[in-house]
Amino acid sequence: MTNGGTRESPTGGRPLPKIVIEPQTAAAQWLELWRFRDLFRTLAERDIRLRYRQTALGIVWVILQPLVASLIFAVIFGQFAKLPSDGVPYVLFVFSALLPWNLFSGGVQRAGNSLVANAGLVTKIYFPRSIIPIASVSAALLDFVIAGSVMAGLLIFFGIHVTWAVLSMPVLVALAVALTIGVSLFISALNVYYRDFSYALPFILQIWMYATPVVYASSLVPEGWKIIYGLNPMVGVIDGFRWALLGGMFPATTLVESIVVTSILFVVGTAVFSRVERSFADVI
Amino acid sequence: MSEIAIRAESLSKSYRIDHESGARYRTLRESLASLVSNRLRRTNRTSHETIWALKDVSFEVNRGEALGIIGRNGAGKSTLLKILTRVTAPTAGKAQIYGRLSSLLEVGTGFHPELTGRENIFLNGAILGMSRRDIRRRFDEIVEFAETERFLDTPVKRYSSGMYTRLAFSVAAHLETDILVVDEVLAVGDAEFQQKCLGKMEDVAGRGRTVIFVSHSMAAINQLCTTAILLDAGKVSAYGATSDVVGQYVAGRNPDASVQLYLRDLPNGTGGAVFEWAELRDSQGRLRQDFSIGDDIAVTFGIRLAAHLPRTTLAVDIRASDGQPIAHCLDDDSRFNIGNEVSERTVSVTFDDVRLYPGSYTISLRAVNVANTELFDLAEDCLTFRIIDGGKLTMRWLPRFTGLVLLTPNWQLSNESRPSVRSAEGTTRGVIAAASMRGSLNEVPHRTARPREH
Repeated sequence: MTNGGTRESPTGGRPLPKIVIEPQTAAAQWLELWRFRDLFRTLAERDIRLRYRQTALGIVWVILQPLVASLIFAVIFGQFAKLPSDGVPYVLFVFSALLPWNLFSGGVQRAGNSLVANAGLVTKIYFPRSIIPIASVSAALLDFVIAGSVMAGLLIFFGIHVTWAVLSMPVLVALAVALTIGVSLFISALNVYYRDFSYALPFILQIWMYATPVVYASSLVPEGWKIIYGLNPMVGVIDGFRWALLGGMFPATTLVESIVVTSILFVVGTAVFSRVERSFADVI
Repeated sequence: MSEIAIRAESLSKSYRIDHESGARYRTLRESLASLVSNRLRRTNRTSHETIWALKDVSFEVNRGEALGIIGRNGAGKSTLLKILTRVTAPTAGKAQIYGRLSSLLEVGTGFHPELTGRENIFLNGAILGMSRRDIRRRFDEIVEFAETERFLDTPVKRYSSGMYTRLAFSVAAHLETDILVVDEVLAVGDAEFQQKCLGKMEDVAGRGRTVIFVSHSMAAINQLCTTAILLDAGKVSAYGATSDVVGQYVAGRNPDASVQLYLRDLPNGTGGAVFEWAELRDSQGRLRQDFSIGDDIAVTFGIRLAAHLPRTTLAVDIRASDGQPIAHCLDDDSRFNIGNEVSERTVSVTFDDVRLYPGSYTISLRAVNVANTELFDLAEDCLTFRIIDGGKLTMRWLPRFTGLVLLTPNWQLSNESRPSVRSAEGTTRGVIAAASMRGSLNEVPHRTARPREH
């Protein structure tokens, strides 16, 4: 229960780990999360395994979903509406944004309902509750990695020469993951108390997507609105992805804004979660 | 010198009961609306009541000791376990736990129907607090104990309920922790499984590990525990040697011929079917508690079927005051079926000519699904009746240590010096029939879905 690594025989001489059931500090909570890493891994694995079980196409869905979405967007917005795509093929333009967007929206969607879906565990077994939403996010991260390999294929297919900027990808992915976890913790905790979030979430995410440069270029946003627009942390993430993969201007302002807003959301999400997590079992 | 495994200091837990809405979860709109209206009226119209599920509970458990926790439904047993296992936080007080603690709150918690047996072993093990290394090391043992080698790569939704329970218990049985918390595992499963379970726990306690055991079965508590706590309305009302505490519990059960069960604050089961009230009547239809040997006793109860359940099995259990089971009557045995209409029903179960020895007996009502994998409701010891000495059958003294059932067999006198030995043909046939029946009970995975997921 306490120390995942040690096992003492009950009659052995070594001191036993001691648990005090009392209110906890924030630092202790992160330590606790680390102690339960085996459970985290198992739950993440379960989420991944269960995803496409009893489907004929299985993992192909992970590739098919963003690819088909990109093609549809390319036809509607690129061909019909003739939206500018900063000089790159529209499919590539949309796919490079759908990559981080699907990580975010998929992660939040999965995590949002995760605590309620696992009510059986929450009311019976102790573990740091944040394991459940974060495990859901890690399932979305796997999708991201698979879709990322499709992106690599597309880059080669269209003959795009990637620059050294691609090396910044790990930082950008980390930013997207931090944002996803922050929002996920917030939403999943609130969903325990107010089930409204299960209904509102698809809406919120849809609106959020149109407030994010997924199907259009952020250069379309009027100069005077850029700062406010950039407060949407996904703007910086997607601008960053496009810059790293397709080149162009380094999106300094939106990225800095994104990092600041993400940090705030992460801290707030974690704080809200740990404030309410101890009463989950009583409410869920 | 013995070492302390658990020290609890005035643990308390309160719940707020909301009298207006009653619902545990609210919608955002309702919260906002009540916030606004309260501001406007400057009064708080929703009246809250604080209920102490647990109040000032203190105790110590030494290493290698088995502590039993007993009490009526809603006395705070489950709440205490939830605090000790850190599922929920105490409102006040603290507990210190020395060693790794694992709980066996319900066998199969965390099993996922879509995953295979192999995957579920890892999942369940991790949930119960085993490291992956431990699980891998003990994997073969777990599988062997569960006797499910052939179906390891079959999703557990195709398992029979027997296989499912065996696998789930096997994982739990191989936990290597210093403290094991067990809650009512024995309520599910057949008698053989319950005995196996109890045996395993005795084994655990015997090896110097600490066990906290909650059960309604006084026999099981007596068998396993050295010390016990009796909880009553959230407070410790007795604490000491098991036999003393059990004695106090049995004596204190307040006897009633008619009880209103819907007043129970905590449902004891999943609530698919709920017992509303129960009564004891005699053959003339009068409410009664004291009966003579040979009287008819009618148990009448109201049950509300909450959802469309495929099939509900009802059981009436009779136990002696010391907890010893006397009868376990299933509706099936009497070809009775309550049906599956969503409604409130009144069911009457009449026991004709009850010839139990004088003493106190309790009646429990139980509603389960037909596979006995899901407990809908349990009204434990909800009714008590007494058999008193005397009556139309016999006037002699019948102390409990001489028997339990007054049989009045046929006595015959024969003039033959020795009755002729009858042919044993009939008996042999019976044995063959029994053997072939046993043969057909082999379990195979079937395609019915598991009833639930944890």
